[in-house]
Amino acid sequence: MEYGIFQLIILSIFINNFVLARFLGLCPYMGVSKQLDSAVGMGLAVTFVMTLASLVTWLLYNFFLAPTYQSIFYVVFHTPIDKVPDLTFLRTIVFILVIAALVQFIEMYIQKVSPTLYKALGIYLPLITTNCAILGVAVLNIDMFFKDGLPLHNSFIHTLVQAFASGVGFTLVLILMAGIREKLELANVPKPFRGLPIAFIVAGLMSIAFLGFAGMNVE
Amino acid sequence: MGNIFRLSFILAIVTLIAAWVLAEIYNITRPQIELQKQAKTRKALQIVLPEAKVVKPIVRKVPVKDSKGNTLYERSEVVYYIGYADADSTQISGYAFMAYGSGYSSIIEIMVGIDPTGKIKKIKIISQKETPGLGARCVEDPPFDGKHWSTEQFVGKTVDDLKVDKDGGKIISITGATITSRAITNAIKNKLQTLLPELGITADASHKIGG
Amino acid sequence: MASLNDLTKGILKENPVFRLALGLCPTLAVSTSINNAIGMGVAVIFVLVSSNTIVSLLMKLFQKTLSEEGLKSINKIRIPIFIVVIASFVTIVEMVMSAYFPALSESLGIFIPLIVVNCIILGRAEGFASKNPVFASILDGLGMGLGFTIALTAIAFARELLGSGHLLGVNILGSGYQPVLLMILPPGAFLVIGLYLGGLNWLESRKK
Repeated sequence: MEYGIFQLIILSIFINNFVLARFLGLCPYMGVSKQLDSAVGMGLAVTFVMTLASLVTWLLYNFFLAPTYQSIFYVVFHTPIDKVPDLTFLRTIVFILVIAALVQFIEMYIQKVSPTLYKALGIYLPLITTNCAILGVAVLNIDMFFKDGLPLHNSFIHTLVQAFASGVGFTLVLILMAGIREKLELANVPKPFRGLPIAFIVAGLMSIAFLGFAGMNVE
Repeated sequence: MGNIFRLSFILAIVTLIAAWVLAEIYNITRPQIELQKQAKTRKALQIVLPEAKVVKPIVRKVPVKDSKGNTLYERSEVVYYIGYADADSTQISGYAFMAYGSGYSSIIEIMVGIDPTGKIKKIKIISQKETPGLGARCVEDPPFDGKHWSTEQFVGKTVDDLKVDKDGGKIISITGATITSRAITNAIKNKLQTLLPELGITADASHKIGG
Repeated sequence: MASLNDLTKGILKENPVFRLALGLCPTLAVSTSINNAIGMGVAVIFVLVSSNTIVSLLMKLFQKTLSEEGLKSINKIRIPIFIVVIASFVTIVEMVMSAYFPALSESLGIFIPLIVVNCIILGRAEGFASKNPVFASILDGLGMGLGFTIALTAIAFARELLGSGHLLGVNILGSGYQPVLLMILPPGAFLVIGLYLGGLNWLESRKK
């Protein structure tokens, strides 16, 4: 079965929403969704890192880690095909280091270009490294678009589309949550539930709403 | 600038040490992982072709092409398995093949057993990484009650029956996991559609016998 | 000096899930059954204890062998080094699980490699193990890991029991029970943890 581009976009934003369906990206979701403008900033930053990280990790996996005919060892160093090393077990280490490096560079860039944005995002900027959504989408791309180490048809495009769309879905849900929580500040919530507990319950209700998409036929 | 080089160098050393340790452990666990995979295939074949005394894989060299269509190399792939009812391999009791469905968050690997008329005898989901509690429940195989998903519901189905209820068919999908259910159903249907003509089985055969 | 408190604080007072709100992603995703919860918990305990040990040893080694200036440089890249250490142990878990526990490996899915970004592990490495002796770090890792496992199991208990009538695969509530499917689905996870957190807050306010 092949995914169409449009299908993949709808899947990633709504049906397989990263936060409400896949449970990825929850820490910033709970922490940053209290105000609308920080929610938007965080959402955009995460979407950008997700797409960029997916691109780099795909390239590394395809040309370096997987022992196939596209591996650098075969193409450039001419190692015989059965001696090309299978480095797929280094996937986790390589991916997380790439993500950490990317976030570091982005931090330095934002600090130079827009010190106000840098201050606004604060501690949450370096924390993007530990956002499960980033490593999650990188690993998901490999699990879904590779078989036996070889990329499936249109694997690269699918990877980029899925990464970007998933980020959009994450941002969407973050903005919705921020809007609700701003209103919730003024509501009469019972004391034990104020703050995190009511946020989870609201997320649960949003999740029920998004569950409605699960029956959608996108073919 | 030189500082960044020095720091990267130290980090590279640490990473290399880690990579070396992991490679050693990988060498120890890899044969076991391979064994698990082979045992899985063998067990799946036993489940979908239980009465077969001998199972023979039909291997073919499948060309792997690059994006321009040039053949890079040929890979040996098992296209399907033949199950023989007797030890002399003269009486065919059925066939088995692997189907791969693009699921919600993983490639779902299914072993399918069919009888000589093309009707499904049994399916076994070999591997999947779908959502725990939802799509991951596709592996469940309780007796089919007509209302809930079970891999048992595929027993006796022909290629034309393979459509999920959400698409107007008879296959009951997993609640909250339509994508997984559809991926499995369509994967089996597509593989059957390409395989049946090759085996010389026409659509009529499965409808005539047994019904 | 290490004390018993290093071990027990992770279980109740500073429970990583219920008090510090860390490690949320795997908590909600994996708590669909007690079997999965315990499997994930054991994996996380292994990574926590191992990485806390190595991080504590490494920092002690650096302090003993490096000059003032050398220490300053190492401090700049200490987080990436911790990440490599943690990622290595997670990779070991990945390999051992697919080799010897393939069923658990399949049901936990992508959340096994995601242990690497579980904020609990990096948090303890940076916040405790890098500044404390080895034995205390081991106890800290063990305590936090146990606290995480207990929290996960508590949520899984509610979700598995109400969502399927089973506990550890055994039918407890009988065949007459109509399972609340919502519990096993994503909304159930959010609702259960929200209710638990609210309930714990309420209990604490009653104590005062």
